[in-house]
Amino acid sequence: MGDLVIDLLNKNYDAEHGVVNVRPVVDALTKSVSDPLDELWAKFRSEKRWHSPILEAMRLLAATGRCNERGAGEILDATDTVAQEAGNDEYFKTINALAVSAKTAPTLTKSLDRWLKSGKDFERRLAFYAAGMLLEHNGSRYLNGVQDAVKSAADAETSPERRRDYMELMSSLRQTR
Amino acid sequence: MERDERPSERALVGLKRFYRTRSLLAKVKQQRRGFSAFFEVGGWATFFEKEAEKGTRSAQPQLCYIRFTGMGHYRALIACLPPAGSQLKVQDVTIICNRSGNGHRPGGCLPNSLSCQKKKKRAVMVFRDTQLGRFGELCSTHFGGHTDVDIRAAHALASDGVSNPAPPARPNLHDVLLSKTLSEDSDAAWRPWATQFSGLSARYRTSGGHLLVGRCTRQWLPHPTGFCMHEFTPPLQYWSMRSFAVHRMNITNVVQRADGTIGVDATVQPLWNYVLTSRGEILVAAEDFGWIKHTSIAGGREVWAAGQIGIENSRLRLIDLQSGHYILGNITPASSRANAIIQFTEDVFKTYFKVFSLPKLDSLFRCIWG
Repeated sequence: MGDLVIDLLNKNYDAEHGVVNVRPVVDALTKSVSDPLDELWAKFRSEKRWHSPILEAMRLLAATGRCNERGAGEILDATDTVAQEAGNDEYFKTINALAVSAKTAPTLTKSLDRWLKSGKDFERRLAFYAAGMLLEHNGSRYLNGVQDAVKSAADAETSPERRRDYMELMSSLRQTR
Repeated sequence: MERDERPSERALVGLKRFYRTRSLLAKVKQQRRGFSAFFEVGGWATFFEKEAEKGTRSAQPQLCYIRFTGMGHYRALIACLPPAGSQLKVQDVTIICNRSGNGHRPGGCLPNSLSCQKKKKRAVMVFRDTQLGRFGELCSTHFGGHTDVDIRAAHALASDGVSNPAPPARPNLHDVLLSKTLSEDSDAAWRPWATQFSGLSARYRTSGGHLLVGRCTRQWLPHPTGFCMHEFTPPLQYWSMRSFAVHRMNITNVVQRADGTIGVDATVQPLWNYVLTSRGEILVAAEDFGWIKHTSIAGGREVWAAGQIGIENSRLRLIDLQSGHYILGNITPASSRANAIIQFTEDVFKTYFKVFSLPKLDSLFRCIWG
């Protein structure tokens, strides 16, 4: 069964654009295996060269509600790996996918809390990005437990523009409580 | 202050890029064809094709534009310069190399190299449909007169391709831009659009909006933070939205998500990126090799907005603002800045389609964050 993923990735490779058309891979996997995410995660760990399209497939499953909290954790782990190769915007793509599903949003909240507490600039941006996405798609539902950490982190922001963004976000959070 | 993007300035940007990339040398040895040469990534070079067995050199130098397309891939457009009056033939060669130290060695095995072998594809490409259309015709029109072809290319870019010797009559920059619906100043519909866009951007500025600076999302060791390799590698093919909307919107890449909202389905490839330039043009290109980013399309310049395009039933259904270089990490979703850029970008697209009478805007079209 393990080769199914690789076969599909090979089959859907577009040499003209140098990319894998991942959508047919996800559609085929969904029809043929009981847990597509599990299959993809197994291949992610063993097949370094397919990291990026596999992560994209995992994100689609998450965004369309076919991923649980455990899977969300795996997607975040996979994102750590791919971001080292391809750039830190991979984190934002993953946040987008996790924020739109009630099954994965709680995992995102846990990561948000961890990012806030790291005290690092980029992690703070990630945390507020995640907070903004969660707020936009779910209201304050998944953010009630992290409001104090959000406030502390907003106070620590040195960029005036981003600080203003963060203050607005906190204000929106209070209003939607 | 808004920048002017007339062809002359574009050429100047190209010139700067050309010189800045001179230090980025990649040695590519393609043994099957029996030649080796130093190529400048993102720049032009000449080489003499050597017949491996005989060890002789062909009389005619060849011109090569080589692009680093990511993950050890290079794409070389090799222009075999023809006798005067005949058609220019361009070879499109994919070279796959391993990265090693400061140089690059051939023979790597990468995802798109299914048999772990170098792949080669010959094609007679339409000159103006390739990246050669951006800089190449300038180079070829100046092929005589100097001993160093790199210097010739630089001069050609600097002089905006003013030398257009006939025959062979090759397209100059103006012709090329016109063919790609990119020559704003000679387009009758551009002036009304420029007027409209001026009003839209002025209103956006009043609400705090501004041009966005690209910041690379990764570190390019040993280069300092802020160095962006992406901006040195322009897309092989790109269009204005006027051209793209008419001929290229033949995929469906909109997905309904778990919460009922819709978004761009990034698993449908190629993924189409857009940038809204300072002058109000919307440029579109595919994210080829996962490498062509928004700064590649914008040539590293400031933009008003950048993101991805969502198409449904051959109509523009949505756009988003997912640009790692320009937006994500700089603007927080759900903030007033985010809402302002969403509204501005949506207004720009709607007005653009209306002014240029483009029919393929979905009635439910909207701009979303992501």
